[in-house]
Amino acid sequence: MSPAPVIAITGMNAKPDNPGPGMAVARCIKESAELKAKIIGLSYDVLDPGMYRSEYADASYLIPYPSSGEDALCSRLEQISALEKIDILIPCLDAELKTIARIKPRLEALGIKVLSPNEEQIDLRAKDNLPRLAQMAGIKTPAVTKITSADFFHTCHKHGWGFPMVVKGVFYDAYIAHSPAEAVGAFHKIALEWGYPILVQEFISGEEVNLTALGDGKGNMLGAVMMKKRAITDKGKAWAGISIADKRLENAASKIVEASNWQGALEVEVMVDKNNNYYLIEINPRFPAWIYLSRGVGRNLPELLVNLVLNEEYEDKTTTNYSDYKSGVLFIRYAEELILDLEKFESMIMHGFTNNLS
Amino acid sequence: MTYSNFEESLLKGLDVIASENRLGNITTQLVSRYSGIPEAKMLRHISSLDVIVASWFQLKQRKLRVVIDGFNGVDSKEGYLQQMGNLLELPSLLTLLVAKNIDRMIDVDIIEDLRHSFRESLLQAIVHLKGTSDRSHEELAGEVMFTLSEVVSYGSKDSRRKIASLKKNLPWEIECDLFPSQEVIKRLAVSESGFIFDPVSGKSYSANSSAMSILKILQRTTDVGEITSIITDEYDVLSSMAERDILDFSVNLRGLFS
Repeated sequence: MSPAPVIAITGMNAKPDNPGPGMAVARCIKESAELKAKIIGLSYDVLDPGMYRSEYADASYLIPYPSSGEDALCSRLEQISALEKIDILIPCLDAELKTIARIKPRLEALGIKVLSPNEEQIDLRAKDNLPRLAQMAGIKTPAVTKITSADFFHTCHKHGWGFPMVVKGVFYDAYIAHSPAEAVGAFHKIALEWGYPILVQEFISGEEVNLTALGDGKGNMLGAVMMKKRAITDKGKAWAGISIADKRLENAASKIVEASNWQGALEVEVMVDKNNNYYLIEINPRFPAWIYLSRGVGRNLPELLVNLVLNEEYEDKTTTNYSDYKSGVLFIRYAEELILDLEKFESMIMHGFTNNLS
Repeated sequence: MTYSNFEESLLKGLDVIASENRLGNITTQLVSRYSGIPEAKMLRHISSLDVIVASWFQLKQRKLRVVIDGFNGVDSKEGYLQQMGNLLELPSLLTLLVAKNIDRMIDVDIIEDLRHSFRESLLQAIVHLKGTSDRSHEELAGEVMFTLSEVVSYGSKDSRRKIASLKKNLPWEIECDLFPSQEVIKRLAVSESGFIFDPVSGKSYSANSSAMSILKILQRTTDVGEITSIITDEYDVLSSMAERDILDFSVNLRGLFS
């Protein structure tokens, strides 16, 4: 008999220029031939469209923002689980991952299993830790420095920095600055939204390739799926992409997973310059928004994660059978309107809940 | 800093920019960074960047004429290797002679004229060397130019290997990687429709029927003579014409896959 777990998924937002991965994760699981899962969508905003898509979420709930604290999130999850009997939680947003890692024992006491990186692993992939990770991966990384004053941009040439450069927030946001004036603008914009310090990164001209996979927590990387962006949004997010088979990228990611005993999903972003040098740009400790491509290439990673959580001895056939991996599979994202009854919207606003099956 | 020191720093900065094959987009920021002169100070002292670039290019033109004349007078192996060695020690001149992207601030007509003269003098040198090769003098000159153009991507291991090869070998002895590696060519998925997909880079291309024919042969062999012979057996085309098309195509392929 097929397992029928109840799976709660966060990140059900899907803004066209910067979508969260939740809906795509839910879609992968719903289309699994093995699982007959019930999906519970978890969101922070009543306008997150994934909450109302009955194809992907059987029911949806609002949860408190991570800034509300661990207790608030834990007690809300306890409430929801009392109603839905959640078996597995798949967190999909960077900002909530540390909180989830901290409350993991409490969630497990509620019968909710989570396969996501621990706090140490989340800290390891912080943007200012990239040189260490790149060393683990055996590839390069752009020079990076932390700054707290915009004066840096007027004197940086004395220290070997040149334009263009990338001005980044520690957690989110990145701008390419071509002049001190642009850099100062980006500095203040990021500082206002995300605070200090600000990171300045050497600009690497090249092409970005990405990999997503699962770490089993024992040093093994499972089910790698690689993608080259073919079209991007204004925010640099993939709007279209194609699966590739790049052994060098795979080896680099595999070394990171092995050295850190990574557990759960990850996305590795690498820039390849014209001399074929690989530069580690970023590691995200979750599935990417383009995760539905994993189903397209025959390596349904969210399905694999669920199977691994349900059964520690689960044998991952996708990774061992490399010849089945399909390169040259495209995805093209699109935006569409979801028509919604006022009752569902009202229910979400008034009760923080909607049942999509009714 | 005196004005002459200031100007000298800018000219040196432009030299380094050229040496690193960055003449494609000359900006005040770039010149400021490479010359060590703050942008604001630079703009206070010169009316525009064009002026300083023009002055630098005039100096380079004179030096390029000397290089071209040097090849014109070549009549021995030692003389050729001496001239080639000299040129390779002057990366800023080499960039002007072979780089693909040159900023519009540098007069395109003069560049084209210099490049034509260089190729002609290189050809004359090859004719005088009277080497034994089954390839024509034009083809050999083309291969030397092609290898020089690959050298300008400084810093790569491949580039250093090519410099070493050019410094010690006569044109018909140069190890010329006309085509991308067999590993790259073989991994390409080539469809009958002309659609080509590279599963490592994720890039796709479309090719016409001639390019498709050559590409399919290339997946078996990279020997130009063999490819030419297969093409001339199959199509009604002169051997010299087929060879030229293959060499032209090889330049495109290198540009796409190297």
